[in-house]
Amino acid sequence: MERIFTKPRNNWQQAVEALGFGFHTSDVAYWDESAYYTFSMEEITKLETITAELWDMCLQAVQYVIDHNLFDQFKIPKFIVPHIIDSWDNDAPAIYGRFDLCYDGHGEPKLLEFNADTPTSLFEASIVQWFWLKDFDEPKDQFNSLHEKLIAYWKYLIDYLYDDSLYFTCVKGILEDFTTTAYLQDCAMQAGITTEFIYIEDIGWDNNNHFFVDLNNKPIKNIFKLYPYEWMVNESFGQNLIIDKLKAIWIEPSWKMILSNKAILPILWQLFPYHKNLLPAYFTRSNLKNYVKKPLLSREGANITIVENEKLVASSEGEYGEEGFIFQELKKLPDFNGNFPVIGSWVIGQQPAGIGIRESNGLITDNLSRFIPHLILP
Amino acid sequence: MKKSKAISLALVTGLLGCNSHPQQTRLYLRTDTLENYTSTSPGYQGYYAFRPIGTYYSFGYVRQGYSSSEVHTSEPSITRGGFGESGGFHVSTSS
Repeated sequence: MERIFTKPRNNWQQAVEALGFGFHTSDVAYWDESAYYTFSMEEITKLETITAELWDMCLQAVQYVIDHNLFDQFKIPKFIVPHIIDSWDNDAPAIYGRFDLCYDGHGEPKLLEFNADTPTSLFEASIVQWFWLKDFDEPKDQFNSLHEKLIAYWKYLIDYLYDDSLYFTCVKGILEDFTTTAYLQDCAMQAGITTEFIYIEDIGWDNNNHFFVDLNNKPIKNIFKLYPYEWMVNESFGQNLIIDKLKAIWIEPSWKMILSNKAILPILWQLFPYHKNLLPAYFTRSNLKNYVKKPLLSREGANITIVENEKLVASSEGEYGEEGFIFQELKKLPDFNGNFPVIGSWVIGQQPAGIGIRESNGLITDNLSRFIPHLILP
Repeated sequence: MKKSKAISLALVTGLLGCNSHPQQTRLYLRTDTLENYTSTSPGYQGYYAFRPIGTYYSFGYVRQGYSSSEVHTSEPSITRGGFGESGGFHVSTSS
């Protein structure tokens, strides 16, 4: 694994905008093709194998949490627990997830966390870096079969959906979320599914019939949401999830609330102690001297504290942590000349499907991180 | 071989892509009617009832979102707005 400086394509902004990628730059560049990472096939095969193994371990962990009724440790509201269990027992459809891994090409990749409910950066990983490679060095390979696996898995899921439209929803006014949602809708359409879009604020509740409706007051039976469950369950319609007479299929399913919660990290360590791809993690500080304190529910690297030899090394502000924290042994991100990458390794359906790399200037990957493309050396 | 062999986008580039004139605002209309978002069936590249919002930068126009506030229906038994109340947050890249 190496980081290589290169010259961005001429007019790269127009090239990525033509794909529909409108959030390539905010205050700082988010899409950054002034560098790229190279991997050997051996390194990629390792990432692929580990991703499959971690996914299998996560599924075992969900079963363990349900069997032992550990929802309190996740601070999951009691009212939604039956919905979670039903979605698990009924094998409710799930489409994707992203493991964030710490890896520098040497040794074993370590799991930092699993983004199981609303993982984004999908469009960048699947589309933008694919077209970058096509322009940059088309014969080279990339760990990226996200697009074809998404279409294939939507096709597979058709039999699991109600015979009705599949709605796609996200919050208004955020181009990044809208792009990711539209991309997933695009893939579903290409899989032959009839789709509709509705902003999450526009979803209605039929108080007479007790089901969710679209803007035509038509019942919603299948819906993909790019909106976190931990927000949904605390909002006015949250309780309606459990009284919905149509039992709408929500994708991702509510059992993903278990995996998207940082509490899964101590559970995984408990179930698979000393696993080569896990870091020790606990609900208390335990005997850790070098550790990262993470809120159970947090986004964009908020409210993270890094302690090394009893000293605060880095911290981030935010509004999370009310539900509690977990403590994970510190594994510093690799330093490529002041650039600290995290590898996001995707699962589509049940399979590893590709990676996307986000870089930051420090040990915490926050909302100012940048996306760097990659390729595989022959 | 790890990468996808071919990629085509039916919806995204139609909605969000702009090939030659990024500074031009594209309106996905029907915001003046009570008809709702266009149904998108396979292969159909239709319009959404969205009005883009964005900012002009030195290199061109960057869309930052879409507004559909004009789209609404009224029905006494229907309540709306019960999801999406966690304003000020968004899912974003690192989630």
